[in-house]
Amino acid sequence: MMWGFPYFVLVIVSINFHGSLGLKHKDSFHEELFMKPLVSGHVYSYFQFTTIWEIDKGFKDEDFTNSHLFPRPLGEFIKSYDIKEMHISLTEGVWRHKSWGYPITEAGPGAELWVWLKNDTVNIDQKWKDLVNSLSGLLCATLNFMEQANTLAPQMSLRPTGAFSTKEKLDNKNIKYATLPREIVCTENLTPWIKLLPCDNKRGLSTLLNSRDIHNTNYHSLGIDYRHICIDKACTRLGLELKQTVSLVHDLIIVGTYDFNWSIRKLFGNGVAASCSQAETSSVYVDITSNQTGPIFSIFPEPTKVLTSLQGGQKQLIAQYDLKEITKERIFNVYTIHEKPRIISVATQPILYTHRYITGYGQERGGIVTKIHNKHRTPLKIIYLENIPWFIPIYYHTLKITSGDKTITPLIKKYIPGKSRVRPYYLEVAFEVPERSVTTVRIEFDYMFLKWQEYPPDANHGFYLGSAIITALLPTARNYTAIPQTESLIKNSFNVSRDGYLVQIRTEALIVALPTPDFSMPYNVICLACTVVALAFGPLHNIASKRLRLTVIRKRGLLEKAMKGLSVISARFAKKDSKEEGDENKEKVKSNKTDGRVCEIKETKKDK
Amino acid sequence: MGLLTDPATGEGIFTHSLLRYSNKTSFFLYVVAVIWFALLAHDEINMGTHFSENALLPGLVKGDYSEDEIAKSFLTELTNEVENSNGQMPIPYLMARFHQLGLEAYIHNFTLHYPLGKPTDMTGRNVYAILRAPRTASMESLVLNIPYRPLQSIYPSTLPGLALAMSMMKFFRRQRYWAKDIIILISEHEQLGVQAWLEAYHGTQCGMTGVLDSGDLEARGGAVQAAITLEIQAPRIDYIDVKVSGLNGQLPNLDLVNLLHRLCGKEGVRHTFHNVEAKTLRKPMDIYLQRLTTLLSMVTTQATGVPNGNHGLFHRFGIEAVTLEGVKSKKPSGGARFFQMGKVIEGVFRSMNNLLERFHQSYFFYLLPSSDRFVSISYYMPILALLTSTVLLKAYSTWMILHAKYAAVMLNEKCASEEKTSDTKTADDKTEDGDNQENSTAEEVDESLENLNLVRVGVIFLLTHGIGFLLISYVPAITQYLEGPTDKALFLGIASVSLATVLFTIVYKILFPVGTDWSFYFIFCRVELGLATMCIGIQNFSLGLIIAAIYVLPAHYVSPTQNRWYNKLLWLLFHPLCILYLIVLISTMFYFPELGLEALLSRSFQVTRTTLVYSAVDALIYGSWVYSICAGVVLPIWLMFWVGLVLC
Repeated sequence: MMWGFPYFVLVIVSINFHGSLGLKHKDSFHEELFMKPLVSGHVYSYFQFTTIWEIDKGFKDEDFTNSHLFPRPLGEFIKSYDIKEMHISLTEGVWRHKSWGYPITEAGPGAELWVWLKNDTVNIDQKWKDLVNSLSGLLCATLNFMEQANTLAPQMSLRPTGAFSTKEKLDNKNIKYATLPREIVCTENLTPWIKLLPCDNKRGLSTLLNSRDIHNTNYHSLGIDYRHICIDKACTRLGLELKQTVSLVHDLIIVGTYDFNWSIRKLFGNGVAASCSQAETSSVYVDITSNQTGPIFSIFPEPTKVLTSLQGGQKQLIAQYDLKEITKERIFNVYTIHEKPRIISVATQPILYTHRYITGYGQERGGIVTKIHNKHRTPLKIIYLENIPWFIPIYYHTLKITSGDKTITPLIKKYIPGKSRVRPYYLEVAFEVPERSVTTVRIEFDYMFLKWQEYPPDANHGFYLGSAIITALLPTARNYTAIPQTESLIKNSFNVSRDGYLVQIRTEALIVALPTPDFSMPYNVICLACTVVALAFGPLHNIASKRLRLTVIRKRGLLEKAMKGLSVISARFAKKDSKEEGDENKEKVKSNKTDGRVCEIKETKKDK
Repeated sequence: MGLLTDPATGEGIFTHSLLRYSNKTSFFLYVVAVIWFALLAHDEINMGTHFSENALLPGLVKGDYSEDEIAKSFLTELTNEVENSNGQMPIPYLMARFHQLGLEAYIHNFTLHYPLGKPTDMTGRNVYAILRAPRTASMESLVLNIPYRPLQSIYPSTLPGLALAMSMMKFFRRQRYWAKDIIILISEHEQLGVQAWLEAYHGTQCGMTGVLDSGDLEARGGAVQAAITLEIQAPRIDYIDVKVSGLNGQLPNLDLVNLLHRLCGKEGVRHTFHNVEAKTLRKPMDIYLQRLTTLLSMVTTQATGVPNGNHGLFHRFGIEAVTLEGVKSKKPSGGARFFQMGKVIEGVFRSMNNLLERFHQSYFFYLLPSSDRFVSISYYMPILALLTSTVLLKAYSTWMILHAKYAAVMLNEKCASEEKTSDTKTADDKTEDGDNQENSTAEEVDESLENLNLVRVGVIFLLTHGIGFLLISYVPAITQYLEGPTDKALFLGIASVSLATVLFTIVYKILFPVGTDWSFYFIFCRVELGLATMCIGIQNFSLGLIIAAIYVLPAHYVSPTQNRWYNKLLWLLFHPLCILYLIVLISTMFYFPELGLEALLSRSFQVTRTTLVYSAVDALIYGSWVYSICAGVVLPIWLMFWVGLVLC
């Protein structure tokens, strides 16, 4: 009753005096959708549901028992595993930087998880094990396959993105990073993900997330990012930020739109009937810059506002729609109409993009090659993080970084060799990519056999090699859309010029066809092995238990042969009398001993 | 296992009869092998084809392709473009079209530094476009390859195939079910373009370094799972011929071959293997003969080790591939149109798209007597074993004879010494005799030991194989040193080396007569021949079979004791160059029966020379084995026999 009472009050208050309680809790929820028609004939939609919870001075550090907008299951999870910062992504498809530019959040194919635990966490490995197990339950994903054997602690690439006290020392043992490139993302992941939202998928932008439509896209990525942030510039007030994101890329040719005219209804199956009542902001932003530079189209309905964003010398035009206002009158839907039939043009290439592939053939030796294209007029410093599973043993000495004929010496090299079934190969290299060049990072590996139970189902499909991460600070914001690290919301990401724009490019994942035994063979092998053992046992036993002695064969005359035959016959008749037989045997032995050694030459008939 | 423990091994009835009937047994084995091979074509021995991989689900869905009108308009455009570009590949047009279809399109440049004769360079350009699969992260892909043939090419045009493939890509681009990227590759210079593209795709080099500069690719689509090469000659074709033979006799997975035949059948397109349709003839004998000829033509094609289509180059990279050749219809009506062909290709790609695992079930080693029958490796491999066992048995029996001789000498010696020890006690005056006896046995031992002289065998082995090695590795040097056309230069080089070795042996014989027992040497030669053919047969059955069929009988009957001058002369006929000439002669007679004798001979000579050059160039560019096997294995073995024959 003591605990029940305040809860009861809370429920009543939240029904009646929602506004006042929001103040008390100091949390807010924002739903935003950013859409960008890409030059390649695709449409990029990025949903971001942000919960910001200011930590009260009196508020006991992250006490998630009283959560308001913050999803409580996640809160408890964060609490019990001492999580400081967490980034999860579940992705299907690969982001194609070359034709699509940079996304707002990057994610590698499959599942990716990196977590910073709190500094004073003890028993980290056990915590990590429990954490991935709970998380796999929470998101219906097989994150429990992230074990020690495929978990890394990168030393340079994945630094905390949120607020971190300057007094606190970053201890590298607190970071855990793992990927599961084979993870398949489907409705079963979307449903629990949506459940974490305050409005579920009943109201607001989340009503657009129908699994039927979003899984028909060329790229879809679910993400959960949790971190600590500063509420004000001076960072006197701290807060928690939870971002739930969905990135989608629709292919307009597959969607089957006429002349590339798209609309929200066409892409997602329905419009937005109402905004989420819990949301402080409920906005849709459509990047209409390409209207100026590329094919001209008109956008309907008229936007609430057209924002002009100047960022790193790049001008962007953004049509903003305020759903709170619009949905009062009608169901919200955006659609575009092209004036002329549109032709797909070649995309303006971004400054930095990569391409990765396996070299060689056969199942003995191979190589992994990552090509890094730098289209900018200045050299770029990048960090290259490679996470190679233990069953693909790489050779560190074969690491070669070249650009054209020039060999590039790395600035920093970090390497921890993998160990079979214990830990993956960790390689992190920082180097400078020359201007307007293609830099090739290549490393060689051996194909190896696994133990037969380690082969996954459908073993002949091949083994996955997760993507590498390439981190760089871009000097210009061409094709760049990401939200600055210090900001939380899309609405704050416009008109913010900085010295550099951080990108963390995920390369393609790869399939390696390891030598795979024919799994129908065990049956044959068992049969064959049993036969061989059965056949071999007798003679081997004979050899082992009997003594072999060379004797000289005595040539018998006809008479002797006849005598021998007779004695055999007579012995058979005399079988009943065992004594006699014994005597005869003795005699035989005796006669053998007394036999003189007579040499015998066997003539072989010559074949002439 | 009894063999291990029985000291009497080799002295049983079996060995005796083997020694007695050695020649007859060998001949018998040879005949059995031939009959066995002939029986392979019979339906009782071979099996009907079937699918092993259930995931292929061939023809389970109804095809949606209906872009045949588009294909026709593409064909008109292409024909115009090709005419405007002097027969060269209309690259700008293709790039524009692919971009318009919403594909990523790229150009791939490559250069061939021609390895023979004067250094010349040849450049080429491939165009490829990638359809990015919406369902996956570009980890796997399928290739649709169309060889581009300029107007002046001696081969039939492939433009209709290209038009069809482009319409296929237009259709495929709109589908949402793709789980594997689809790469359309338009390759130049027949197989060279595909080889360069594959090398660039996999970042490797297969031939000699510095010969084919395969350049680099801008984009890839992950691991290539399968490839189809389209050679459609006309918008309306009579039938589709499915070609399988690859480089060095490698074959695609039988499931893929079955898939194509099955889908052709489903869409009502006539489909053949080696231009023979699997139709039911009335007489069983006719069926049998048809299968036998198809089987023979497959064996001869496979034995050359030269792919009969672009598909053959994919196999090395673990990519299952076949070529579909649509043969132009001669009749004014009937035949298959773009619509049906498109349906077939759609079905094939959708089936391959269904695959979760790479092709690993079914057979990789097989012979096809018909498009719907196959012979598995377990049925045809014994033939090679029978053939090689003739020489191996001969070697064994010779060994047994030597062994017996040796054992006899040793035993004599032993007995003599024992007798001596027993005799010394009784009679002193007999010692002189005993000494004499001992001396004589020692000589015998020496002689029999000399027969087992490994040094002699080793030296000849090294010399002959060294010559083979030189012939393989100095092909470019030979052609560069000897001026004139490469075919004449290479032929001259090889012929003069052969002649020199043959003559040198004879001169050596005259100058330094070495006349002892050469049986042991011949054992070695026979064992090498047997093992080498068996090894070759494991890699390329047909090649091993043909080498075995030609060489085992003469190698069996060659013997160190009974060789007259005509035996030697006959053995000269089995020189690899002579054999090549004979094979060419016979095939020329077969293909050009109208030629006169003189024309026939000179033409065959010309073809022999070009064949030599082609096989040498193939070895340098593609890493083909046939030249290396002939020059590095067959020729040295022949030479070893020859040396043995002349010197003994």
